[in-house]
Amino acid sequence: MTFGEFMLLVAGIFILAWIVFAIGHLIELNKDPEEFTDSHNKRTAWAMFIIIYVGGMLASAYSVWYYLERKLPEPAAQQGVWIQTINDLNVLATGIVFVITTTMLFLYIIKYYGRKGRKAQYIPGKIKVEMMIVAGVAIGLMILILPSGYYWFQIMTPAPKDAIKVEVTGYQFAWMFRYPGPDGKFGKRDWRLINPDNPLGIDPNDPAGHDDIVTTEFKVPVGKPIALHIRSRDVIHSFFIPFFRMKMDAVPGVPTFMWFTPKYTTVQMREKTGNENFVYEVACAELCGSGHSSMRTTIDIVEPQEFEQWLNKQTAWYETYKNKQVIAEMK
Amino acid sequence: MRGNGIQQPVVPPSKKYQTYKLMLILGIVSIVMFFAGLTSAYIVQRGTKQWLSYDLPLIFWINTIIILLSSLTLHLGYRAFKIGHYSLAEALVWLTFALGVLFLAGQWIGWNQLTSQGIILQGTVSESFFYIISGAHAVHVIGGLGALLWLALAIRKRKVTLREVLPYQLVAMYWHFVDILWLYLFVFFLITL
Amino acid sequence: MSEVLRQGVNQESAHTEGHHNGNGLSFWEKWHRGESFFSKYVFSMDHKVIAKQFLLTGMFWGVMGGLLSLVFRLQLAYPDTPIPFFEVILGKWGEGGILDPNFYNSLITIHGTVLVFFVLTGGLSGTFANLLVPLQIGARDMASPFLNMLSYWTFFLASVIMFVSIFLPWGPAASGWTAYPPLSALKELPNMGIGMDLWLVSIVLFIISALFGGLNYVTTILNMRTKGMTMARLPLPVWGMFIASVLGLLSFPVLLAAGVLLLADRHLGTSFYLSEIFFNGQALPNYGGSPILYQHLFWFLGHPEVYIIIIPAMGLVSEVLAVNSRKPIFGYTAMVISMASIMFLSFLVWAHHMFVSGMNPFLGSMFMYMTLAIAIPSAVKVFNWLFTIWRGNLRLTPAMVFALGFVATFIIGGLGGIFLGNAVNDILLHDTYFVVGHFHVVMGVSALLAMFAAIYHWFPKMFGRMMNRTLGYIHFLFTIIPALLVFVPMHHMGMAGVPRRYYSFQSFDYLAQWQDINLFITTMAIIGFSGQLIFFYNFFYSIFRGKKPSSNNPWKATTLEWTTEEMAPGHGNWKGQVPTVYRWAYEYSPPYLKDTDYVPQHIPPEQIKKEPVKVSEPVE
Ligand code: HEA
Ligand code: HEA
Ligand code: CUA
Ligand SMILES: [Cu+2]
Repeated sequence: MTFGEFMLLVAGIFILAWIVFAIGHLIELNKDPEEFTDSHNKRTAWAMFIIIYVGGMLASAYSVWYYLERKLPEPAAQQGVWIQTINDLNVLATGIVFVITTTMLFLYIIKYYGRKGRKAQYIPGKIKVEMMIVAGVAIGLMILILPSGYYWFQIMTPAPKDAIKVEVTGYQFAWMFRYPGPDGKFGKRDWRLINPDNPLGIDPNDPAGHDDIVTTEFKVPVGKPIALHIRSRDVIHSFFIPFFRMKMDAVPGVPTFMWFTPKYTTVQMREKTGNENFVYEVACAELCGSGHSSMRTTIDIVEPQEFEQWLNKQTAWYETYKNKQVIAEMK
Repeated sequence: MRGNGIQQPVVPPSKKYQTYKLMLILGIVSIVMFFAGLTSAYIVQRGTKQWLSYDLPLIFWINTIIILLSSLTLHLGYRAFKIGHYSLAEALVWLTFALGVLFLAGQWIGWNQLTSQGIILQGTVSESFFYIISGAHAVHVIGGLGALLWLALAIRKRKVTLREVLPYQLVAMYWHFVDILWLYLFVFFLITL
Repeated sequence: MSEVLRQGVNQESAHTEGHHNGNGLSFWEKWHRGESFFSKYVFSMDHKVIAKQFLLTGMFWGVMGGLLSLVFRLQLAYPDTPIPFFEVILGKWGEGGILDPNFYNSLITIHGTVLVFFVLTGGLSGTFANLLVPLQIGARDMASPFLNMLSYWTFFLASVIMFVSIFLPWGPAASGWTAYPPLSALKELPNMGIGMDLWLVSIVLFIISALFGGLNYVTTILNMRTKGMTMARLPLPVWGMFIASVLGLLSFPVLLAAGVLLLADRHLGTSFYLSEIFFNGQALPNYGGSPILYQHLFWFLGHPEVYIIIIPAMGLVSEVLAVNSRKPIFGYTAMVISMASIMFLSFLVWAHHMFVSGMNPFLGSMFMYMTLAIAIPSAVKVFNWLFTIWRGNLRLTPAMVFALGFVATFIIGGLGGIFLGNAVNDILLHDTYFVVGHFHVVMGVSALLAMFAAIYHWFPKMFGRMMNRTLGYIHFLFTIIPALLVFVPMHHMGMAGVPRRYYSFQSFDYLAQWQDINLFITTMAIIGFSGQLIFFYNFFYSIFRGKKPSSNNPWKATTLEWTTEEMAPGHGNWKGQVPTVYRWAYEYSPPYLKDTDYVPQHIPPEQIKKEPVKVSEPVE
């Protein structure tokens, strides 16, 4: 729809609304606003039942179907599977509660709409009923809480020792990655050392940092636990991998952690989704300024040997840094 | 308004007493929450990374004594007031006021001493917190000074007399609160710094 | 402080001494009696006038907030099409019809802030606490009418400052309504300069206004009840206002503390929230602070704030449901206890907004359990509402229809909260459109419906006339249907990982498929907004031309506000004596009645047996 057509549509709806409105106004002018006749109540009750309840339930069903067409593909990390399981459990549990309570509400409306000569029953309430509600909901919640508590600790425990470490740094408006190199240790960082040649502020005097690899490309092997050390250089960002269902904030001054085990390589995922351009996109999920909505990066998940090859081809950060310093000194 | 309109005052006098007292208590609860927010923020931040510990200059001890004294004088004033000794009461309220001003001046000196020791507002979080929290307290003291001023003048004009003791009680309540609040903050800083 | 005292002193003389001889009244006395135009309608101390002032200001901000949302919704519907009139209405922020990304952030910030604080806190609590608290407890005015007036005018000042900030050439605040530092602390960022300062000042003033109001409501409810009106007989709206005010008194000061520290970081060079920041090509000296600290302080208020909104709404709806079901509210005591437990629990759950901020997992799990526990008192309320209409004799007035809509949408929104309160699920859903969907359904729809229910119900009390009924139903349909069509799809978007506060979805492949939904949502939002115009027409038309009710108790309710001699009473509320209360507020359809189906609170027990109850006459 072009913008012009859209505006026409909206204007059309507007005019329709005002016609309905004018009619409504005229009808009412001849009526007593305090009189609620049986037929009035009946009409209102059934209108609510049909428009809101029946219409709403049909629309909900349609929207679920619509969602199923567009939902994210199967979670591509073990942790994501757990999260998706809890999400589906929630859909089921709240779906049941929603249908029951809403049906009660609208059934009561069409059953008990006001009629002359009828009298409401005087029921001020019963402690027993309240207790049953409390107990029922508490038990219902247990079903949700127990697996959630279990998975929560599974996901939030520190990463296994043999996990592959990657440091993620967010800044306005992109992400940067650091691999610890052969020694498996990250060099110290200090934000006061940041400059164009040293975007992460790695301490050049710390030997642990000399073999660190700094890159804007994020590649990890499939099937191995990956431990992310998440940091930010300026404002808060959030490293969000929808295909893993995971995210973690990047907070300046406060390092955070996240770990996951990818299940499928990018290539496998392309086959699964039938989309030959598929990539694991990473979004920023915390408002960070004007570029928030374009702070995109991707994860490439590859077979372990491919990962090794790629890693070996990278040059250490310190090599380029040293050369640049030498050139600067010569000048 | 409308002719014979209201027969009862909007606030019945019997209830007015309780009402303003209650309102003040609730206000004090809010102020307590404000400082609770600040001090718990302080505790949360404590022990993270760089945390500078320092000793508070002597002047803050003196200030504590001054503000405690001022509560005493205000209370003595109330005793005088209750037996109808208005002029003595007024004098004691003025004295309280003077002690309050002295307290503020002392705080000012204390801040200056800290600054000259290199403990500055822009420094580490523990330094900034001291200035912000004691500064926020000072603002509440200034409010209290306004109330004392009003009270002293009202006693002079005999607007607050034995027929109307409530204003004195309210001002005293607030002032004692500001005093206790300082005591709490002071002890808090002594323990945590 | 001293002002209050002086006011208190003079107020007494105004009514005791000044009453006999009208001359020689001081300025204050004249003012308080509301004798000049100025003091009657502008700087009025009459709680009912102040209620209307809050209502009108709230409506103004409702329209503003709605219009802002339409502008950014158009951007989301047409992210890459220039929309020519943007340039006309937004000037340099819409150059060439392209919305500036920073200005998009400003729009959502102001939209969220004004709707949460000015419309649903100021507009809803401010209006109905002021209108109903004195009237329903049988008081002639608030405990301190002066403080009450001050509360409105501080609110007004806060509004003016917020309004001015929107039109500044440097741009209004663009940090989201949550104003997380470091984004909100770095004043060199675009739109984060004066605009952000004014935003903070406005919020500080708003807090002060809310505290003044809260002090007054709580004191009034505790101290000024008429004879016989025990706490256990209070109508539920009053309980709602009471609990929400206590909640506000305890939590707003903490937000004030957060704001003070943020202002210090911005202007005094402190580092409460800042550490290790490299920004604008240079390393900032700040070290040792933590942005997480702000989040704790903010949500310690921010979470109770959402219940400050919903608890009064629950109280109002309970009343409307009971009156129009002609049945006592089911489980009055349980209703009060559940509101109180929601209040209590709401202090223990704030960190559910921070599950993925790197917080300690053990703490996270505690916050998850506490959050889910809120479902229990909420369920008590929902089922009690359902049992209230069960076996009732429902009179489907517009107010009743809105109240039923409230229940339906509160269920939907609340169940969305269950997803989010589950820490595991929140790893996926945090900061996605699911959150946006959740809070709009529960707050933007259900609390708004409750407010409309209350307006339709108490309109006669405010203006002495009735609102047009058919227009009320049309307004209802034009609100709830578009609202659900706008906000329910957002839940699906969130589950599919669409992040919130996105200027456009163009940069991501996986978001492209939602473009048509965005267009749909925008269309529905425009329809929903146009539905509100029906309400505005009805509102203003009815103030002047609406039908006058045939009796002083058009809804046949039991509560005291319907016992005044005039439909819309003047200052002092009752011309004669304040009525005495003999029973609770929900004596509808008791079995011992024959000719009528309700017993107002002020009818002495002796009178019930003797004759059918007459309502419009106050009882001595
Ligand atoms: C009026 C406002 C309002 C209300 C009432 C609520 C109610 C609830 N909210 Fe909501 N919430 C907001 C307004 C509100 N919220 C806002 C504005 C935000 C976003 C702020 C921002 O980031 O900008 C937010 C965000 C928010 C989050 C953070 C999401 C995130 O950012 O990641 C969470 C997480 O726990 C949450 C949870 C809940 C819960 C558990 C309830 C519960 O109180 C709901 C309880 C109700 C029910 C559960 C339904 C009725 C019960 C039954 C029918 C019984 C049966 C039920 C079961 C057995 C489950 N809310
Ligand atoms: C009560 C609160 C409320 C209400 C009613 C609304 C109403 C609407 N909101 Fe808003 N919204 C928020 C609170 C609210 N919102 C908050 C807190 C945020 C978060 C901001 C942030 O991220 O920082 C947000 C964010 C937000 C977003 C997310 C933006 C983003 O993340 O990029 C979107 C997107 O579509 C949106 C859309 C809408 C739409 C289409 C409406 C439509 O319903 C608009 C139609 C207009 C109305 C329904 C108003 C009618 C009301 C009146 C006229 C009032 C009458 C007044 C009296 C009777 C006193 N809102
Ligand atoms: Cu980075 Cu949003
Ligand atoms: Cu919350």
